[in-house]
Amino acid sequence: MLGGYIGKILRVNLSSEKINIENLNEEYARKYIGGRGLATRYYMDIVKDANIDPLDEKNALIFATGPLTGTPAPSASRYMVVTKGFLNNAIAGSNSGGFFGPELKFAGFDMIILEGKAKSPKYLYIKDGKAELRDASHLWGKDTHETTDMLHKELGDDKVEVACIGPAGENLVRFAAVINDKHRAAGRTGVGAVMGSKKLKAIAVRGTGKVPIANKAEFTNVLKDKLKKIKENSVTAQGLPSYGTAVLVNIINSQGLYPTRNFQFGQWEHANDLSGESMADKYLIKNKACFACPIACGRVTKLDDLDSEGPEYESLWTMSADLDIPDFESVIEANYYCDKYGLDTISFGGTLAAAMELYEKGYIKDNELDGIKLNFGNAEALVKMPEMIAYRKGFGNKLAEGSYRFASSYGHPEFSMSVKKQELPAYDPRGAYGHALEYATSNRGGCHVRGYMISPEILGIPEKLDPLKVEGKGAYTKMFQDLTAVIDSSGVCLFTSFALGADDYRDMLNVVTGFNYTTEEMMLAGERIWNMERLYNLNAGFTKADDTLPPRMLKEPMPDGPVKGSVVPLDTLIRDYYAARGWDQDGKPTKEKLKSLGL
Amino acid sequence: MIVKYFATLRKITGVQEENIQAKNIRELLEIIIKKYGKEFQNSLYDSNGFKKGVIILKNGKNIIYLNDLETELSSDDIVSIFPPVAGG
Repeated sequence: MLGGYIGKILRVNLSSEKINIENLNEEYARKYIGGRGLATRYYMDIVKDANIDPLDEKNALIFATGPLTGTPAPSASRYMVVTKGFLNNAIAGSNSGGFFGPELKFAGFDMIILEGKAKSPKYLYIKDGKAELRDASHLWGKDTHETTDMLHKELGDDKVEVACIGPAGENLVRFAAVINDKHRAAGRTGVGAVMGSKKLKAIAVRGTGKVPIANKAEFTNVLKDKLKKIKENSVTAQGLPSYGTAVLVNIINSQGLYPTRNFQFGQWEHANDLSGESMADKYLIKNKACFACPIACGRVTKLDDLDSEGPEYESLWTMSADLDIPDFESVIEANYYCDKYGLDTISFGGTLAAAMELYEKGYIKDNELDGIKLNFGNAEALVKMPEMIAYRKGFGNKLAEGSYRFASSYGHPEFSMSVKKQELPAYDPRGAYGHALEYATSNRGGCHVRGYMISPEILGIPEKLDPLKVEGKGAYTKMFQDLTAVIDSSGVCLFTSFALGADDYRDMLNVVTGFNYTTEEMMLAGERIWNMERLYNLNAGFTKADDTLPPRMLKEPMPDGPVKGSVVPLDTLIRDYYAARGWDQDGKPTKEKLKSLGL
Repeated sequence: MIVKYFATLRKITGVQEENIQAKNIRELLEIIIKKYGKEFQNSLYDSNGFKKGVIILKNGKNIIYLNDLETELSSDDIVSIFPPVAGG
């Protein structure tokens, strides 16, 4: 086997409790790299019916590392959870850092494929090439922190890495997350609910092996070069370590695309008081790094007796500006509860924001609620809702369906700020048209990390693009999406891309795997992965009509701030994008395109 | 006009914002660099000019879409200065 990969897949059938170890398909490894790409390939081979119910016994759930995961390459901590998402029935790939991914490789596996449904709660224990399913009846009902602590105690080893679900996953909340290291989340698309449906409470893994490197001599030089770039870059050496991801609050707010009150406005008067800078002044205890990460953007924060981490930028926004709650301590507390109960913070806040707008506009009546008013600005609702949603208590049961289904149940889906039923992150697309395109076309629904066009359009990295220009955005977005597919599949953190470019990822992949990709070949793998995901969604019933944005972004001019008056010219953007992708006018990859990608 | 500093620039200036009068962005930057010295200058510039990712806004609009360094200023403007930052 080549370097980077362990060469083994752990295949677990929870119905029959059979566990097999299979060899990794080397041809697939080269074509799909690993992580997101490789797991999606395996998923589509295993689950032939794209119209399957995500909670069906026959649905598969895959935990996958990349070839760089667990190596000393910068920020090589990532693993990906791939399945059909319970939030929106699209292909789901949810990515997390911390230490779980590397530990899985040290234990002897590149990937875990889970099929079937257990008859009673189980956890999967993996140690140095061996795996067994164990009873988890005593863990069922526990939150993610309790589960992690109990497994450490039960297994007698604090170094065991745990990825688990909380009550939200058990209770099939549409946006339930998988949580590892207590605060790291494979958050989006509802992967935690799929895990819950399989009655799999946790995966506990411990290993003492190493990841093979194909070209050890050259690896040291390549590593030095990439680390130097990260250490000399102002973003990765100063901005992110000093203030974490929430350093973005002021810069996004100042430019008028900081979504406020469920995207009704683009600027928030309290932004500076709830920003990365103010978090560092008031609540930051120390930075926290994931495995092999020289950036250390993680925030360890302290509030009373809560040992919390974060909030990260997206979580901070969704629980403050989007709800108009200028109370930092309530945000820290609610963010802590989301991690503890296993909820995706973006969808949590986005759903609550939709509910608040519906309430203020009179569609939700007080007698439906449980004594907690849902007006914007109500910190009590913010702090109490994570538990109510995770346990589907009272009104929380309705919110557990996510904003789209929730708002639709009142006859007003237009108040759901979502794409393909997944809640949008912290950038109003009326202020950045490339990012609008990224939202509309992301294969997993509303998402900022499938092709982060905010970087060139707003932050000027790697070059400055005019955010309100349409020309060229299709090709640029495609390029960013394809490169992101490579990065997600390689096993390093996307944040390295603020300092590194495509050639740097090629260098790292080549010395670790020995594949000797050209940059073009590597980018083609990214394009292949993107098109494969697109084919899945088309087979699952998605059409061109789903490549859209909430009506507010298309019809309601931004009412305030520097981008006042803007709406997204989506039709033009989409036409440009489909052409750049080599798709037909219905958004379907042409036969020629698929042939050129080997699909 | 009001000048607002963000991220690591606040460590240098010690203030989040202050009132400075200048006729355009070029003059404003000269005044600020004179006041805060090399460390401030190095936060914004490298040997090629502005560092990649440095952002200067006049009333929320990036000066590169206005008149760049020659962008004129008046007393009721707000200028925001960011060193290279990112997140997500």
